[in-house]
Amino acid sequence: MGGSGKTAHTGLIRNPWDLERMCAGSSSGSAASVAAGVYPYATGSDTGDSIRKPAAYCGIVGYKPTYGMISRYGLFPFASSLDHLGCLTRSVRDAAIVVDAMKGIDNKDMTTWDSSDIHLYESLNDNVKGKKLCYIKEICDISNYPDASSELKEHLANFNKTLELCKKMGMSVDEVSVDMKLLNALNSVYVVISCAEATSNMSNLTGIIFGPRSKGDNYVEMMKNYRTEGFSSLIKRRFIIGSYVLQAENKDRYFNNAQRVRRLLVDTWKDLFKKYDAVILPVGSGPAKYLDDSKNKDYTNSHILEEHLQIGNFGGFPSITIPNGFVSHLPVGVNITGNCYDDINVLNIAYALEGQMDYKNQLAKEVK
Amino acid sequence: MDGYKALIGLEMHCEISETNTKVFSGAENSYKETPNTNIRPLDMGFPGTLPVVNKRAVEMALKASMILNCTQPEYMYFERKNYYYPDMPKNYQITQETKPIPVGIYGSLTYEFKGAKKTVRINNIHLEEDAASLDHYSTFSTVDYNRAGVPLLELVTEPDLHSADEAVAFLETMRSIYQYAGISEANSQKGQIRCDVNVSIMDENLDESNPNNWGTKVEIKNVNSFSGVRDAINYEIERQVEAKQNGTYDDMAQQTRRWDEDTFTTKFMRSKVDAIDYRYFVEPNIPKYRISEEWKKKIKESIPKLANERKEIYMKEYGLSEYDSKVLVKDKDISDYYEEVIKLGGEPKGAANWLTSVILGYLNKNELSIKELYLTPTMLVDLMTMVKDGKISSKQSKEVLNKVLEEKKEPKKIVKSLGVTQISDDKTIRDIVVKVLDEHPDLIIEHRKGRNTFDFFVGQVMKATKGQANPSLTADIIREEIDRR
Repeated sequence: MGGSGKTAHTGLIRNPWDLERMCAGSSSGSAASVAAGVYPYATGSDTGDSIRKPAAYCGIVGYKPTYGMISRYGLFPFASSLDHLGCLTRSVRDAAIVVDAMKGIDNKDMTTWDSSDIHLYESLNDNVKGKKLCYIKEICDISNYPDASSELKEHLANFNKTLELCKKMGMSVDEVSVDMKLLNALNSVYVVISCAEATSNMSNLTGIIFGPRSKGDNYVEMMKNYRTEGFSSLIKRRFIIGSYVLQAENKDRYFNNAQRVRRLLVDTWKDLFKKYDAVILPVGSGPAKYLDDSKNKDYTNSHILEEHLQIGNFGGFPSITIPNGFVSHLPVGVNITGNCYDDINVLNIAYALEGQMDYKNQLAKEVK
Repeated sequence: MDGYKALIGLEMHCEISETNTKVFSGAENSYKETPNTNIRPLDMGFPGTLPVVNKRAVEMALKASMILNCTQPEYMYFERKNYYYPDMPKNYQITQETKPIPVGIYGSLTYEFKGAKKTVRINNIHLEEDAASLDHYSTFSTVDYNRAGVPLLELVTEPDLHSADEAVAFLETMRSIYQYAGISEANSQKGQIRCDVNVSIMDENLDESNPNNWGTKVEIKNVNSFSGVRDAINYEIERQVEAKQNGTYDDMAQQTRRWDEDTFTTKFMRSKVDAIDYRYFVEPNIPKYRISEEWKKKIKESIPKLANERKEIYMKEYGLSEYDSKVLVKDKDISDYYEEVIKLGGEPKGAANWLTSVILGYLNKNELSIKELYLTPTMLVDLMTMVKDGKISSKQSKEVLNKVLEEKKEPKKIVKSLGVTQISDDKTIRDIVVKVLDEHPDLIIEHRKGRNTFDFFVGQVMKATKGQANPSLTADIIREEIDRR
């Protein structure tokens, strides 16, 4: 669990393009091995950006379909209302094939819905003329990042090139504006809701009914020891936040307000989908970050670039990341997100765009 | 009560026993003696398992909500109640809270107490999953997950009850409702009913409709029988009155106590300041779903006649006494049996007599339920028909019934094997009557003088026929033959 790939079960996960850099997470190993050509695809789950961010850092495709398209039965949950299943592949076509095989209504997961009339692979076509895209000024405009690094500048310039390409392909691209206050609240909303749900979801991990039992004089001791030994400090911090925001005296201020802002964000995006087929945005603030955090630099407002993919989880929207170029010889990605149940449309835009670029089926080449 | 009155509120938990499966898992919903034999991964809280709502359980919960005159929600939601305890392997319970509203809110129920009608306001009724059952031994405890996930209805009343007996009368009415509505067997022996009781006392002269006048609320947890409820309330009232009298009442904190069945006392568990924060939030794995008006209508129409309505019918349409009607409706199985007898053509008053005067006594004596009774409604109707048709006398019918129950054979077969069959043939009886009268001309004279020799003649006919002569026919013929002489 976590977004760095540093806490993986098998050890540190390095980016196959640059071993000094991370893959992001939590599907760090999956992204690395698909990018390196070890597997043609990997399945994954995505609560905030866990499929789509690593895909961008590793130069591959990461697709999270509409909430409930794939059953969560059998998935170790993190935050049930945000958890999505999806896949990491090296092409949009492969993503369509994999999700076609994974999706469907499951009577063991009440949040699944009948998608039997949706055939992603069969529906793929690159006729996207007339499709309407929009991007968000507050996220994409370089003037919002006064102290931007050259990598961030390059990343956004590259994104603009992708927008030009879209226009050339016959799609319209509009700039829209969203209240900065809402965007600034993104991560707090995510932390509050995901930690609250995660704390509850993982309270079954006591080592008593399943898992290796810890020693202790009584069951409370056994549980305490198991949870103390078994969880990293990052996860423990999340548990504490989750419990705190749900406590009776804090619940309205934190948890209920987070739900309200989640609703506002989702409504804002749904309004966009009334007019546009999809929202197109750059992924992250540049290429993969360094594993050694001291080498990473934060810029004013760059957190919004890092966090906006969470909106796809808040709304259950279909969302796909594809590689759209290189910055500092490292891959960067672009994300396309559409309205719920509109997966075919989202995939087709990504498929057409991918066809106009050179990054389809690319394998990681270690650059350093 | 020395100038005080008690305000009592109840939280009644009743398992829904009439669904095929548990409320969120596919495990069977049935009582199993062998521990941990009726469980699915979800009931054990395994990661990756998800709850799936049992529609039948929701239907039954809505039915109960309607019977209690509650408001039903437009959308069905569930909430998570988070707490660590070995009886809850997920370490949270899926339940409902008052916001968003549960299956029922703000209703009322009228029940009968000592001949008077009383009304209790219902704060809410909600659907949740039962916990596992724990057994505590001196050095260890055991957990049985069979019960984990059984659908459970929790009913919360306002503090509208004023005595232990009222509380028990209310609970008995609720039990009857659950049974009649086909929601639950409501059997406390199987642990299907459990109660928490709130007790406070206040000055008798003060207005109880103003909550400011209420005393300190004490909650008593885990009372598992109606007699326990009665004892716990009485004990707690006494304890609180004593505290008033010895001046310690004002120091008494709002608190939770538990009923100790061994010592017949309540024991302190925790005060309100140590109350558990359950950190509720809406269960994300169960999407909210709309309760349509059509569905509600269908459920409403499916509510069967409850004990009270049946009682009215028995009195008004069948002409039974209030007492007999009450006896018959007290147990739904008995009432069902009675109605089956009537459906098969049994005469209502006669059938009621059979049940109240003979059959119920037999069941009580042998500690049987009516479901275990060998005599089916069809057999009882056969027996009643034989009496009606004059094939056997009513006196004989009781003997036949005893043999039926003893030998577990149908009434018709018993009648045949005993040779008891009533003589209702006019000529056969008339021949015997004539012979008896011929033998006793002196007694005919005595009879005319006004002395009662009539019974003697009847007795002689019975003797000659081994009691098989139809008594009323015999009497008629004797009268006719005496008049003729």
